Amino acid sequence: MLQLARSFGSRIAKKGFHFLPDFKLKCGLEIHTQLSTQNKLFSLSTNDPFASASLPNHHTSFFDVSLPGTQPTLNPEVVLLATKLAVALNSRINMNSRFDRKHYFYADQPMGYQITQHYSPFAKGGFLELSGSLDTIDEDFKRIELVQLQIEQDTGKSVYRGSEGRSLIDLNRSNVPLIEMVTQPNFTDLKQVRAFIKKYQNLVRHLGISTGDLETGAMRVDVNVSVNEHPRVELKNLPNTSSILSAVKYEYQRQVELIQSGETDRYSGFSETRGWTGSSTVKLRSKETTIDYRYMPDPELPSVKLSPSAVQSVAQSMPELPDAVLRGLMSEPYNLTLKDAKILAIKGNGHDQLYTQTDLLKFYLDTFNCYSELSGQRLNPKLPTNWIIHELLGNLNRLQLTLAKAAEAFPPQKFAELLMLIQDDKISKASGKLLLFHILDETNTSSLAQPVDLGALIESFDLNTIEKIDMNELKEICIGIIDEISDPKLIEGIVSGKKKNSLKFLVGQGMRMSQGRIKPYLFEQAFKDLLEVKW
Amino acid sequence: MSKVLTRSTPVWWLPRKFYSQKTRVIVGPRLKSLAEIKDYVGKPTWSVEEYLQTSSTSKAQPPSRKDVEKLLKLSGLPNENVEVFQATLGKQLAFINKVQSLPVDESLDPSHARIIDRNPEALDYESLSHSVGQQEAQKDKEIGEVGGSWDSTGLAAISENGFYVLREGLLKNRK
Repeated sequence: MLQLARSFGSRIAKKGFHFLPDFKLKCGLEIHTQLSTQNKLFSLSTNDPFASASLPNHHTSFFDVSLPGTQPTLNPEVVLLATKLAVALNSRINMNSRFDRKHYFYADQPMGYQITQHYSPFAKGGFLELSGSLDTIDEDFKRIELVQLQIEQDTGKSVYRGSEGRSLIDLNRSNVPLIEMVTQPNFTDLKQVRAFIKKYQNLVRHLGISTGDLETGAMRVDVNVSVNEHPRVELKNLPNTSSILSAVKYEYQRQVELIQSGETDRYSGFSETRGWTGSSTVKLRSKETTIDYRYMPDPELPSVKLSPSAVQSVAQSMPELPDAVLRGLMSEPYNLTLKDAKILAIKGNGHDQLYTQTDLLKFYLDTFNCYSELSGQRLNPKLPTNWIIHELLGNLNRLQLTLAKAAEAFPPQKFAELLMLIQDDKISKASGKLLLFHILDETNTSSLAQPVDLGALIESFDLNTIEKIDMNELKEICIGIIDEISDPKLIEGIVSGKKKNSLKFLVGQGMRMSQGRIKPYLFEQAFKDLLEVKW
Repeated sequence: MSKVLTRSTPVWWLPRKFYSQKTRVIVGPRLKSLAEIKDYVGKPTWSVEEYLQTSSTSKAQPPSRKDVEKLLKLSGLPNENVEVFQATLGKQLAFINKVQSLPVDESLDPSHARIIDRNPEALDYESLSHSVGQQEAQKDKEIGEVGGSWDSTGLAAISENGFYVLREGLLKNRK
């Protein structure tokens, strides 16, 4: 069976991928998201599922390992985070949701059942809207409707030791809170699937309810795929976005081939669950062997009764949602490009990062406001963007300095003053770059004098633009540069006017030597005079 | 037919049929002291034995061999003593049928069929946030809620470097 599936795979891979107009793809997603609560769902052990590498079974209470006689108590933080997500996804919150037991036997599930919400989930309905302008999809707008959100327990982790014929079980992840979100089968294209995953991932990071990482399993995506209304196939074990997309492509083509060959009745007359091997999907189980979960209301947990004011208060405590932030940054007065707006507003995975997007966005907005006040009518919106996104972030990476530390030493007000000095030509761009790097470098080594006095620094480094230039001195610099040129054809080209652009090279050398403090047009004139250029 | 009081019915969980069947349960007066409870429990108004006896005459079919084997598999139990289970389960089914045929209060909310607070207070934002703030102080070492406060694999028959160990056979025989 496995062998058959593999040969199938290579055949499809060689043909390349495209959707066929007569075969309509229909997809739905089921996403499990680990909540970043302080503690676990039904106990007060620390929620740190990744402690396992060095400390297996470290964060496990009696309940988490299901010692007899222990009972669950709901963690209220889970309710707050679930409410946030439900509000952000426009879902109808169930003011009286309940927990149920889903029974199955597996080694990483010590109770013999998972506590989940089957009969009366936390929230129903809702949607996430994708747009052509923000989310790289072909349609202008695409609304993905949601079925429901439910709160449930995560399981432990098994490390399979094939050679020893046994598995090692770590229950650090046991009883970690999850939200399962199920969408309607609204996806008709791979771009929509990719965009939705990215958008949902950013949303949970933005709301601070999960790290949203696929790689660590903090977010796990299962996909339902059906073609031309044939029974759906559920794809599981998809570790990252590219395997999700590859698996959908593979499954689409597999189902199309089954339909074309008239074998649908034989092979997919019933829904089945398939896994992804990295190159093909393989059957895990079919409907015939579906597990009977024997759901029952959990007799130990009271219903989760919420007051309407609780939902209202959570909604009010939430930050502006990512789409609104992006649209705001892309319009007056900021006028950022989508790419730059995303740098400020879209969350990375947070690992090894020197700043959070929230802090970066705040630094940008504060700086923009200060600069806007100082510059008044002469506001150039590109200046703060370029200097923060390119210069500042570049330097932070180079120095491995956190934004928090940098902002403490060089706050938005000072940053705006620096921008004004550059805008007013008080210092050249090159000097500005040197100055910014110097300040950040000093901050890093904690040798910066506080508060930063830009004027004094400019004075001490002699960075002021040279207003009055001694023409003789300028001439000498230029002679020095010309003498250094080893290729006489370059000078000949300039004099004859055949290679006018070479003059720019000389000007560039002059700018470098004067560290940008002498204006380029002065150099240009001086070189022309010296070389007796007629053009 | 004697009255059935909810207090004496073992209502841990009733099968799904319970929810659809509109039957009636009569709830007695509230018991106010331990003495009253002792007194109440001391005088049984009905017995399981009685129902089992009366039901043995009814025509309840024991579950089929196939059903019992499926149940054993679901419960992770070895496929042994099937006839014994058939007989025992047959008796239990007859008992459940009997219980379900009794008159109960039709106005009863099925979600109340659990021995927990039926009308918990609605949670508001302040109480939720407050409870979250209290968690750190409430972590209880006695029930292992402090990381590393107990050797959780110490009770297991086999463990390895802090992991529980599962012998492969259990996994393989799932299907």
